[in-house]
Amino acid sequence: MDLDELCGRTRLVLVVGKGGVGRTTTAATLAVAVASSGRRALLLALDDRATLPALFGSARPLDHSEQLLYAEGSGEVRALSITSDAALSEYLDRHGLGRVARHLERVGALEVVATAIPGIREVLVLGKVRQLVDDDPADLVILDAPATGHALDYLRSAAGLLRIARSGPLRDQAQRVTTLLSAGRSEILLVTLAEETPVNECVETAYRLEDELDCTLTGIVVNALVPERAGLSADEVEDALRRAPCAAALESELRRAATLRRARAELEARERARLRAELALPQVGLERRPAAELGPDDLRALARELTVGLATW
Amino acid sequence: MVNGELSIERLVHERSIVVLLGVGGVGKTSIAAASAITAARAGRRCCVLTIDPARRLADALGLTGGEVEPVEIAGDWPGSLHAAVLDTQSTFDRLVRSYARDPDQAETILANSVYRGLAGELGGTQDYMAAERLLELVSSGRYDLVVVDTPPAHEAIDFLRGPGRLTGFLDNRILRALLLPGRSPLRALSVAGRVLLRTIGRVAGSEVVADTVEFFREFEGMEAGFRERASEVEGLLGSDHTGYVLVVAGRSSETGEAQRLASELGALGRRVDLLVANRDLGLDLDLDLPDPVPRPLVDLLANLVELRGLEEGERSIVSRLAVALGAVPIQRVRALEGDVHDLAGLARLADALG
Repeated sequence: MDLDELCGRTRLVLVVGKGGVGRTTTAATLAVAVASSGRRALLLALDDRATLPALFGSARPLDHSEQLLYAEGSGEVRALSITSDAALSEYLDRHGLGRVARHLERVGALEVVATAIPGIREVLVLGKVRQLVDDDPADLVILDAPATGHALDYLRSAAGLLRIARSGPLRDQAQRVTTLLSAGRSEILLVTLAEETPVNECVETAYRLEDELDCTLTGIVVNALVPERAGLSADEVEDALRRAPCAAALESELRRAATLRRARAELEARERARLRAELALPQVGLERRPAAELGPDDLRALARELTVGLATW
Repeated sequence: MVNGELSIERLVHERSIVVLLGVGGVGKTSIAAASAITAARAGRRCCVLTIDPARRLADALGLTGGEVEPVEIAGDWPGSLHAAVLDTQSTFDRLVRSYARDPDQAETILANSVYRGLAGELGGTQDYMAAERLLELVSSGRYDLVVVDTPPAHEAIDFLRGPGRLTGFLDNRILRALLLPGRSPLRALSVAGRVLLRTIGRVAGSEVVADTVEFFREFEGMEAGFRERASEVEGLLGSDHTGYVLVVAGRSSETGEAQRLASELGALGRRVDLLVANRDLGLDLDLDLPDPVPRPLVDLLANLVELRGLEEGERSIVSRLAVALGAVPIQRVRALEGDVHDLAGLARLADALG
């Protein structure tokens, strides 16, 4: 699968994964890959307005107006954030609450409506996403979903609202959101680490998405892989130390480091195989970056890796 | 290794509740269970409340699913150890039943779509229910210490906020106006209530309005019970007897979540008491490396240098986090070989926590 194909067949990619697996980094990486291929990507953040721009070296948190985060040749990455309170507030204004609401404690009114109509916030946010998908000139819209628990709430909200709201404009919104999320208009990219718990959670998330939504799961990005290195098998290590003996502390440390590397490689291979066995989805592995805090250079390197990996799908 | 006096061992000796926070996959559940073992070894009666244990760990703890009562884990320790799994589905419904004035009222509420939405929001993501279950365990008087394994970081924010959200919701002026229609002393609020209901009807249909009115009316009698409960939970979470441990693996993606957790704790008047760095490789970063590099050792040394780089990066993230959170002590736990998924593994991890 190359990026031309992806941009040609879908308008929206949702990047989904549990907290701590590098979901935001992956969304940014995909955006940079799109830009490197000469196209325009639009990144959307929901709850977290600061992490995305920081990855691109920008200190300015996202807001509702587009911020240019990256440019390369004719390609670029722009980003904005959508907050659910703003979406709800704006919607209620349009539907007649405006004048009276100004006399009320604004937040209180929103809370009551959100309680009376559970899922309204999420559906309105997705409604805004849908608007951007329809109107924005970007070649691909990439949504950095919140951590899985909340992401599922978002994705289920339309179905829930259709059950509650039997008539009215919200019902139309919910229906349009359902269309947005269904196969053809959007795809889901899962993100995980090659470790036991994250893989369990990725598998569970995939099953729940398949059960509850009519959506397309495109594939899985496995992050932070520590690559294997030659010459570190147990025999090779002992052989090397025999030929060049050194102080006991150093020998022990060298042995230990080799063992750690082997153990990590085994773990990753095992977990990726398990992922393959449980989910018939293509995977691409991205190597762990040496820097503690990631920046634009890291994104570029990851984007190259991602592009090469996706070509095998 | 402990930097600054505080450690898990001390926390489980001194506190009545220890809450573990952190993103998914950092080893929180294992650390929670191992901390509980440490407490049992110190002669305390301890219960660990886990939210979402991996299957093998659940088996190791004897949690086959569906148990309402905590399960005792036998072991060679002077105290006692129990384990409980959060059962989110039934907890909120149980609360409604206990506060309803009669079964009919309970059933009306449980079937009400607004209630289901509210319960979904407050209980479906396990947040509020974990806090509720905690209160149940603490109130039972059967344990000296309850160790709480929270849902992954973003949801842990909800765990901390849950009771406050409920009381905040109950304190909502608009809601009060709707609950006591016509009895509100301020006409403007009643007008507001009517306008709200009209708007709700306009956007979502009249059935939603009917459900909303029904919910608020039925809930009126139960409000006091819920409020008291939420307030008790908040008291526990804000108490000096509760310790907060943030478990991290040293990835840069954890920093944002950690900051958010810290500000939620701040709202409760608490802070992170201890930072546990759980993926420490235990490398000696001060060890001198040979220069020039002997030919046969090229691969081995390159490997060591790379791993050191990773370790340094992780430690630097953790140190900066500790400073940002207010000079929090750090406890580094050596990564064990492989995931922990049986009692022997938990016991080894407990050794590493001492």
